[in-house]
Amino acid sequence: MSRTYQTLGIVVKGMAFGESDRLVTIFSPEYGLIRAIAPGARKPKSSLRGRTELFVVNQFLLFAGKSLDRINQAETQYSYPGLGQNVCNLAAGQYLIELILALGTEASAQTSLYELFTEHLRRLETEATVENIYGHLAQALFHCLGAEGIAPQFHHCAITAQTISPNFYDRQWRVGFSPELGGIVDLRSSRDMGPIPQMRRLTAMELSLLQQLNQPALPDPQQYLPVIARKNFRLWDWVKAENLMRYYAQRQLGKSFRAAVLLDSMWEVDF
Amino acid sequence: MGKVAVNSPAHRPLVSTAVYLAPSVKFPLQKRGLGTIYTPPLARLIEQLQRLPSVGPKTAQRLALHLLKRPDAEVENLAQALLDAKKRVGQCQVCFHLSAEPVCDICRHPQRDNSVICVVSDPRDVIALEKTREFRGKYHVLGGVISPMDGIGPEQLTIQPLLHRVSQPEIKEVILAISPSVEGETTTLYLGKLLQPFTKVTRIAFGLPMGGDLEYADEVTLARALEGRREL
Repeated sequence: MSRTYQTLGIVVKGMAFGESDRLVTIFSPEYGLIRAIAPGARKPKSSLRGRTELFVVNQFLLFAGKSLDRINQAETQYSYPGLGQNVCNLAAGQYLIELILALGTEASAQTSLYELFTEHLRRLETEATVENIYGHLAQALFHCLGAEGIAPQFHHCAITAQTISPNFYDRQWRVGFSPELGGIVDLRSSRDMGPIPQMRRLTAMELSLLQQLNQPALPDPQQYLPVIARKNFRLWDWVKAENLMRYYAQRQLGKSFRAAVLLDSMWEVDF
Repeated sequence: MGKVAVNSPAHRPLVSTAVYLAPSVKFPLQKRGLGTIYTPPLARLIEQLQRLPSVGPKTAQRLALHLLKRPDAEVENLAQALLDAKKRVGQCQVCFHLSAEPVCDICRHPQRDNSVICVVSDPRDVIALEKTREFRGKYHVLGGVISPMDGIGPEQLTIQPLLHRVSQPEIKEVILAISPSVEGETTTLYLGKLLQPFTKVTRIAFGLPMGGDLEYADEVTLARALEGRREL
């Protein structure tokens, strides 16, 4: 049986290995995460040099080894050049890579996750601006967690399963969010349960934004928010939505997203 | 070379029948159950040499056997040079390049251009640029690149001292000479944003290597070369 195989994949991690090789992690729709050696990739004239950089999508020809696979050939399909135009986009892209490295598994097909990941990278590259980058990231987190079946519930109470809609007419209106229960909680029903650890309180605006994350594209809040709420929408609300999704994802996956810290510091400078 | 006393360690054969093998030194003979082929001090030397980058078991063995053949004075000089370098070489207080003095030769040189600073990520980059003999300004070594995925943030690099240097009025230009990887790009863009209010910031060109064939260049490098084209 041949130990050579072909797959499409995006490079999500790379490090120097030995004298002139590179050890890369590829995320493939058919095989999930693949760890492979790119022989001679650090030599100046190697054709694998640019092809094994982060964010480069290649059609790979790999040889299956005992512990690590070896890249025999790679042909670049796309490299997301727009991400390199500003530091916020680059940091956001690395943030998504950290998410994929946490969600990805070895030797199993993850077609939906791959498609969502590459689609959200494309959106970061072409659509993200300083105004909506956090909205794009919040939606990317929601979609990718959803592909693995661990997205939080923002429409129904995690205790009573009743539908909860944001109430913009009462300024004091709040809904709870518990990462442990996996979604929003009607504060009246939570009183009967006693204290819920690490529960956060969300405003009507925050809940409204979070409820839109399951849409295929990032909606414009000025289009779908009720007229009474439109004038109260601030860009900061997207930041809060992303922070909640980040908090939830970090707890679920047991790891922190370090690129997000860089993004936060740079976004403040840009903004 | 003087006569060697019969009982001195130097008289003993290099290949000993003593059963000893350092845990990290693995050779095929061990698997055959034939004992070991290295006497303890030699095995220890091979083990230590193997810890050096790019040195495998065979190279370590070759180096160790070579050292044993050299005169005592030569080996002592090597050992002393290793200890001296380790003890004395630190970082320049100005540019963070390797230096045995508080301020390195490049920073002290009176004929160097004080108004241009070339920012690099590693001392090896200073050596590479110095070999070109094209750059007459001064350097600043960051000590790495921003790589959030590896836990390296801006605060772990020498960015604050760089900001302090660049804020001096005599600085006319900062050249960012950082590798064009994603981490390098992140660092370049970050520094560009930070330094632009103070002075003119440029970056080195990237693209095809000299002598490289367009036909064999990868798509990413070619795309970058096109992006960075300049008017003749």
